[in-house]
Amino acid sequence: MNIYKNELRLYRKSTIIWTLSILAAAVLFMSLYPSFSVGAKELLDMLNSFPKELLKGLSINLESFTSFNGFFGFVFMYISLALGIQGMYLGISVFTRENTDKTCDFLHTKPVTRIEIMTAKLLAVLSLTAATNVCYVLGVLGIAKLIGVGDFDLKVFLLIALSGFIIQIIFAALGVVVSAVKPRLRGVAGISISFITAMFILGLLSEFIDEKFLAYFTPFKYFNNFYILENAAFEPKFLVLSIAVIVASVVFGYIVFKKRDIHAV
Amino acid sequence: MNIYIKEMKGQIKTLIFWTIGIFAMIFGGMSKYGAMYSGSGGDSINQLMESIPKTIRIVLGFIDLDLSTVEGFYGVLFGYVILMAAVHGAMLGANIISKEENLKTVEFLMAKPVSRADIIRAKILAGVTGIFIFNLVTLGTSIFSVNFYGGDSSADRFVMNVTLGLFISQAIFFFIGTAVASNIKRPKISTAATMGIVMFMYLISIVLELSDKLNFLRFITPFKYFVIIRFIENKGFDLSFLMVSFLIIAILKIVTFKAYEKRDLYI
Amino acid sequence: MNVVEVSKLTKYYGKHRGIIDVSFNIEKGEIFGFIGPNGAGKSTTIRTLLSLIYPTEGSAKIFGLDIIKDSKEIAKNVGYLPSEIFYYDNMKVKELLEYSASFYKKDCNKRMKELTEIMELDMNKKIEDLSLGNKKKVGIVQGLLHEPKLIILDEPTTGLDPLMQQKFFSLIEEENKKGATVLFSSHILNEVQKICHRVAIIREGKIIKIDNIAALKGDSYKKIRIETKDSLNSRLHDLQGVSNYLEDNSTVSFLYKGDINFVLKKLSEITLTNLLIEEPSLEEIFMHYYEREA
Repeated sequence: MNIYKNELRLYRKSTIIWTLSILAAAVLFMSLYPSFSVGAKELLDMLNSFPKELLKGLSINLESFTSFNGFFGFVFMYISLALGIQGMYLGISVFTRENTDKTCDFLHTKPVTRIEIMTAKLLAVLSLTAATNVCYVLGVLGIAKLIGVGDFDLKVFLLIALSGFIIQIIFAALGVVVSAVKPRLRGVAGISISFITAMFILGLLSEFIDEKFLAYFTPFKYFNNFYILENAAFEPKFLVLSIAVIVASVVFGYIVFKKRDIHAV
Repeated sequence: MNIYIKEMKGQIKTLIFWTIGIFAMIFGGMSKYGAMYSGSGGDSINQLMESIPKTIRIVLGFIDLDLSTVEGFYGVLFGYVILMAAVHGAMLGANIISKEENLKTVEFLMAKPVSRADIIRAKILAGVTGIFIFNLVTLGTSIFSVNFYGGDSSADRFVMNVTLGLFISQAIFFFIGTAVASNIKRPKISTAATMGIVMFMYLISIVLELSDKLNFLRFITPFKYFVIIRFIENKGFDLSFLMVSFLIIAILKIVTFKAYEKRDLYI
Repeated sequence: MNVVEVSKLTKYYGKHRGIIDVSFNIEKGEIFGFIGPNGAGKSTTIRTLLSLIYPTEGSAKIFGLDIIKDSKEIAKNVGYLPSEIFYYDNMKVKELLEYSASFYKKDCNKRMKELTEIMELDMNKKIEDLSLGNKKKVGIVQGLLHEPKLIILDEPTTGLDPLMQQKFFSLIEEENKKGATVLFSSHILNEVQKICHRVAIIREGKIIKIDNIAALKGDSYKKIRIETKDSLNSRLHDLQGVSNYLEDNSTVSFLYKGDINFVLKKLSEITLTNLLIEEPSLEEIFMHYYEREA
């Protein structure tokens, strides 16, 4: 419990800053919703006057995409980028920081097992990321109320938000793997940002050039907003893949962490 | 010169990593040109598209460029390239300044007969060389890919202009990094702070896509200094933004030097 | 009763030697010195005992418990003070000490207070603002605040001024009198000589000697120095029992182990201008071990 609390203390400040930034970005985007919804309404009216055959070419349900959830889905794409960076940063940092700050000797000569240390740290990551998610989701719901977006499907909204949390945990778990392979990694923030940006771009690219197999390589594409909007559910195969990646990474982390030699400074 | 060489060696791995990424993305992306979009631009669909408000088109993921032309298709990929360039440039700038303190090598360096200005000059030169290489690879890859998948010589000129814009934008991001790193008190957070600024600028550029009303904000995000559509329409560089870019680079460079010379070095 | 039992401990870092077949016991209530030059394997041994690193072969027990399997149980009664101290940023001395105390299921407040007073520590300062010596003091306090039964010190005095070193040693001796066993690793022989009861000498990963300080020094070694008028053409260095032979113009010095009468007889054959026979310092014995093995 004391290790858990200490981790929360160490990352309190950066988590607050990060959460506020995400919230601010969300607010900024949401402020554009009113003009979006007006345009959307006009569009839908106009489309009704088009011949049905032409609309088939678009092959999407415009009704749901121009809804509040549709707009949130777009905003969410960028929020998930920020969440991903935070997740990976925390996942790597909690396990490399003791090495780079040279506090390993201190911690590991205390009467705690390595399993206990690792579990406490993982729980801290989970709590910090969960707190960020809860805060920004409540923030977005608050703004939605404030600008009066009208009725929307709360379940779909929460599913989209939940997918962001899962993406974040996947990246945190991948971070654990990185820290297991490179326990003395420095410049964690930079590495997380580079990696996540690369993943994000890979996601955009896979969509643009319509290569489905690329989607398997980037957790950003494990959850498809369009799919969630239409089905109010996650794609089962990607949900399974997500859980598999998380479990495998964490187990790998435990095995390495337990056996690792902690070298002198 | 020895500092310059050391900095070049220090960044080579990252540079290789990014340029391979750039190559894979541009060449791989362009391979889909033709197979996917050429000829799909039927008149009625285009007409429909144009009647949809811009915000909605963006949110729905439609792209404002004519994907049936090689320039338009390349333009979409370029949107990804500039994000990569920004991340690479800004991080390089922040890291090249603050790493001596983070790795505790600053005492070693300062005890040598070199002035702080010498050190910064060598580091900036190395950084700009790195960015230059980044852009050279991008240019080579782009011209090769665009020609390979069916562009003509007018496309070459277009790619050259676009890459020049990329180089200038990336240089701005690099100097944002150096300026932040030499001003910030705790060298450990210089990368994070710089990347915070870059991410903020990126988000602003997305917001600008959504709404034309906020166009005046273009000045605060280098992502929007050189817009691809101008090059596609053969309008060349926007002179005012070219001036702004050089002005910003000059100011950030001076700030970097001044702040680093006054700085308390942390170990 | 043995507090520490090390048997045939071996550690390789990949292909590089750490330690080879290290065995020794430390009895309850003992101050056990562990000496050797840099890179000899002192820290490797200590870090293995603390289960920071895992042995390639061999085993060790502390309090009769296995160092790997029961590391948590062992750690409850071990205090460790590393040679270099780095602690969490942004923490005050008080916070760090409280964090340290929170790992032990007992009230450490009283002892913490006593120790900080002895060490003259300012509890409200941030650790990152402390000087090296003051960080070291924090390390000492956090290593002792739970009144450990076994204290492991890895080159503990670097960075402490002589006055603080004095205080530190009397603190350790006091803990020892109260019943604590001490493992004290150092390359500064003076320190070891001052407080240790027994020492192990380690060199290139192997223990080459374990003995009482007194026995080591005595060990019937004599340091002999002679000065002669004319240059020496005797073959003193060929004598059995002579080591560390040094010749400088008319002065010759060496260590001798064996029948003292025998060497005196030999010396009487030379025309001396000066003669000095004394107990060698630990340092000389130490060098002697090193050179003989080299």
